Amino acid sequence: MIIDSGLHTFRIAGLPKHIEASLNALYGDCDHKRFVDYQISLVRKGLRKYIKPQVAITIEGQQPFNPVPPSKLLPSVEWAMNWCVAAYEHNNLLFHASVVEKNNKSIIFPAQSGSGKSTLSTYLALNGWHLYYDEMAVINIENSKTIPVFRPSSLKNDSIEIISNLSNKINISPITENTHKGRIAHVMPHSRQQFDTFTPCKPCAVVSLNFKRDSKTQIFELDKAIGMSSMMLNAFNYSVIGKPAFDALVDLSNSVRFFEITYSDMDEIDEFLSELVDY
Amino acid sequence: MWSVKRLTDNSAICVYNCKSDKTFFIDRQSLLNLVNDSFETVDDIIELCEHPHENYRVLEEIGLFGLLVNK
Repeated sequence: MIIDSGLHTFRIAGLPKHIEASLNALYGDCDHKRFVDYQISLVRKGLRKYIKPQVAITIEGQQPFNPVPPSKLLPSVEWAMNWCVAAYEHNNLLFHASVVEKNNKSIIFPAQSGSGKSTLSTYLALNGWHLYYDEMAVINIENSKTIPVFRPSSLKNDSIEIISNLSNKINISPITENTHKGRIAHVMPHSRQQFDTFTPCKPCAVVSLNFKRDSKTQIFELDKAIGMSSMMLNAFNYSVIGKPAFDALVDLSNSVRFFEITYSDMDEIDEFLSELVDY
Repeated sequence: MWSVKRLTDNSAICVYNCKSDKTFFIDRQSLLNLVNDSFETVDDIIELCEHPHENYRVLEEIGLFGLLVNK
């Protein structure tokens, strides 16, 4: 099958039927005849076809991940697509972050494990915001605009129930148990038709999140120097691109506000972020 | 060899070394070392970085890049 993320296309060969069905449910009908950017192959080799079956994922001839049982393939296919972007996309500046948009302004949540960025961005996407990409901020070097990418968010452990309990109309994948990150489910908050209306836009804020159960919301504005250096720590290809990346990151830092937020109430954060994009 | 940019909140100067591909932040405290009779405050020096191409020689002379040697 072929998956078109809007930024890249991926041909995924050798998919078992149950994974193909899950991907079709997430992404909608896929075009089977077109040029692709990346070839991802799922291969069963030797005795591991039969004894405790394992599937190896090869990407353009490389095998960056350990083989996994067929039951754990869905997250691995998603990670494989992310790997392609992180390893080969150097036309745009990439940060480990999620991005949401409203009023043609985006907000970047740089990633820290356990910060709750995927839960919050999925929650926002189901409440009037648009999810631009849960895994990476893709930023055009020429104009510092964030580029939308048609990919689902990845929820882990307790977040799955938090989000799935919000509504019974959410496009959520089956849960994959016992991955090295725990339980995983993917949510596609927008249809392809909705996604096709999304356009690149300038970010207005970079928000570092810190989820703390039962905590009161605390918001601090950061110096641009601190904000920019934390962005550099989360960059995938800053040193690959070199000076154009430096120029783009300074421009971006000068055009956004940086915040650090401790929170437990997602509605309060929604309210604060909405004020930022309304400003 | 050096590319200099100002952060608009004046919290630091960003400097990129094109040869070593390294990025540096020079904070206000460090910029204090460069204050002299011609540029009496840190903000005077930061202002020079508004037009780094035109002021490149001045920035060199006051020792901005010297702060980054051996880093």
